Amino acid sequence: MSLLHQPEHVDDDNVLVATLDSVKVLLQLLKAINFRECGIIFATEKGLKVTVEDSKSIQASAFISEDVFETYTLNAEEVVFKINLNVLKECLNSMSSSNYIALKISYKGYGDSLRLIMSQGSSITGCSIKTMEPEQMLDFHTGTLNIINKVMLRSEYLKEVFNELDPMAEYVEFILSPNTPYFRLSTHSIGGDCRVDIPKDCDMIESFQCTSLTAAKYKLSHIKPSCKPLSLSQKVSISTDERGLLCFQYMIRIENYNGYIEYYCTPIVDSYDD
Amino acid sequence: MKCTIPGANMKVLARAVQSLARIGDELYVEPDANSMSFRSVNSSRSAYASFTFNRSFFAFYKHEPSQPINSSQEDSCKCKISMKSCLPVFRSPVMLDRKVENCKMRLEDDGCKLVFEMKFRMGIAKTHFLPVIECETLQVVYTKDDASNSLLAQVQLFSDTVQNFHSTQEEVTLSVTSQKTSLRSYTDGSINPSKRKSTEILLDPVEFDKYVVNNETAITFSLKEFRALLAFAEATGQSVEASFDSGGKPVVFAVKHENTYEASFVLSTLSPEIDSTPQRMREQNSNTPVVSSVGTGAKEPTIPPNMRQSTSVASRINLTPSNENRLEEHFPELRGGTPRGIERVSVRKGESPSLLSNIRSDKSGNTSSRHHPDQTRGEKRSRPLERTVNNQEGSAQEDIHNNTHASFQGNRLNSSCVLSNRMMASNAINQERTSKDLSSAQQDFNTPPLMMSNASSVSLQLRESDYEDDTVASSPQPVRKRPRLLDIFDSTFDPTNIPGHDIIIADDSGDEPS
Repeated sequence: MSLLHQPEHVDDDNVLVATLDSVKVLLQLLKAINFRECGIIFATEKGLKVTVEDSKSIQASAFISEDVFETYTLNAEEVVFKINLNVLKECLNSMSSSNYIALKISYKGYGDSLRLIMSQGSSITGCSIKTMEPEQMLDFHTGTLNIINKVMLRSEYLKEVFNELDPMAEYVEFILSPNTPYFRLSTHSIGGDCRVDIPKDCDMIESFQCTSLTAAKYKLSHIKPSCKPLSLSQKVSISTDERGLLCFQYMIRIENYNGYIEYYCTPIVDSYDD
Repeated sequence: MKCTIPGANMKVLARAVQSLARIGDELYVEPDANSMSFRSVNSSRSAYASFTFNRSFFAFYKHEPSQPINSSQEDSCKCKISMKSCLPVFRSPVMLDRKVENCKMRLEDDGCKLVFEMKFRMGIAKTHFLPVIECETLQVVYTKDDASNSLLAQVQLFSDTVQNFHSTQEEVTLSVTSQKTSLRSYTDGSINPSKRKSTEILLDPVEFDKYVVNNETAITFSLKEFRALLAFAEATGQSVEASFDSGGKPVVFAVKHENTYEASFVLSTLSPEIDSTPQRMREQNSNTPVVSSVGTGAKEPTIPPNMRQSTSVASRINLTPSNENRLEEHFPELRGGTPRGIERVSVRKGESPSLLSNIRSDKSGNTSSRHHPDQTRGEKRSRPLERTVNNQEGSAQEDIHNNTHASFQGNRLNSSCVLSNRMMASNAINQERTSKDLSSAQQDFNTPPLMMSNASSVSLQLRESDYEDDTVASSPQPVRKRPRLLDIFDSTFDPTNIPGHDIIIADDSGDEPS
């Protein structure tokens, strides 16, 4: 541990230095959003954010706020770089067990590699991962301004509902309404139709704020990646806006730390057919 | 039709559907006045399964034949749905058991959809609308009550027994006598049994809860469907009853739970005619390549292995009248004479005549050049037998006096001859009759003496047939002797009497299991 806390004269070059008590937090969050190979890391004074996007339709972000870190030093306004998440995962996993591994991240700025030092007991692993030019990511936050309907649930039972969505179906329809059906998921396929109704007085719903009926269809292949963060989470909040943008916000608790994952999904816009 | 299944019973229904899914691709739902049945049959119609749930299984059961859409439909409540549609409904029996409070099942008024409405503990409601393929019923004809044999045992007994078979084992044979029962793996003739592991488990009648055997018999049925039943019975912990008569008639496996539900699996069994021949014999014959070996011509220095094989076979021509007759019944086409190649070819029962004739033509393709062009069909037919028998004598002598391979081959031949001689000695009377038959009425000869050889000599033949690839094609055929020599030869020839029969001049160079 002392190695990680040495006062480093090289720290002056680093725009970002952070130490974490346990690698597990970062690792689990990364695994949950790793549906694409690469992701973009944003470091701000609030903490670290890792974002993964696919086909301009879905975007997942994992947040680790700066109070989760042991130490967190940011010497620049904003630090953004793209990195291969698979490689990052492998590095974080490289020590035999992921318990009690301390991690130090350091980054010197644009073009530099991301350096990791991990220590467990008396063994130390160092990694240096190349970074890439960050791509422009869609900003879905504007969607959160005009939320029409929002439901907060406990994740337990929703996990099974999502896992059992008909794999043969192409679309899944989300209906949120202040009246019955309050919250409905439905799928259609050649094997038949399936409908899941969750009433608003159901035990697992913590809060139900719906102003008007929204119904939108999403591709099942876009919803499926959200099952991973859902299975990790304790609570989830589902909200839609007038454009049908679906937003999942997951609260995840790992080893006494809270992490958050946000998941956006754009709807299918039907032109003429069903 | 409307009914409600309480949560506690959902697990049973789920397992029933999963079991049915292992049988066929379609699920027949047939509600009656007092019960509901779920049925399935496999594509080859050789396995049928039916689960019947009585009124007491349901929390609410209402059956009214809905208005027929057209007058030809008597009861449009019966329907058939795709297994693929309904499996997701019952995917996880354990989860269903824990989470489902009840499940309502109904057939939509228009008869197009079967609806399952499941209420979960949290207030969540899940509704499945399954499209109905058509309204048709499954009818099966079988009787269970007057079966001559009936065994009842805890499912554990059957499961433990069946566990010993490899998962790829397709069929098993259940043999029952009043003293014991055995379950052994069944291989059809196409696979070399000496290369395949086979398992046999013996069970004592005391292990069964009920053991009624009025007809000692053996039945062979498919293991896959039986395993599906056992999976259901294990989950619900019931005992399994097997009712059957004899091979060829279906076997019924039943699992009953008080008055609540009953499962019946009706599996077809192999007919005994197909099953009666010793496995190895049939298999060995089928391995035999069609190589020409009947012909006239000069003495042949090396005896092709297939010749030796045929001679050994031929020497075992000990037809008992009963066998002969039975085979004639099944192969009337043989009655007209021996197709030329038949002693080398598998004579599996049920083989079509066309197969035999194909083989015939193959052989003629090989040997036509060898034969006297004026040989008639009748002659040809009769000749193979005597020729092959005589070849034994000729070949034995040639073996001894000639070749590098000869002695070794001679040994093998001799050993097989020894065995066959023993057989022949014991069937002396038949022998004479046979030889007479040969000389006078060869047309009546039917080849299936193959069926008669004993297994050990067959295994020798197996090894000999390994040498088929050493045969030089279209090599000249051994001398054919006159039939008169047959009797003397057969009853007095003992290869061990010939000096030097056990001297190996040269070891065989090819690989072979010694």
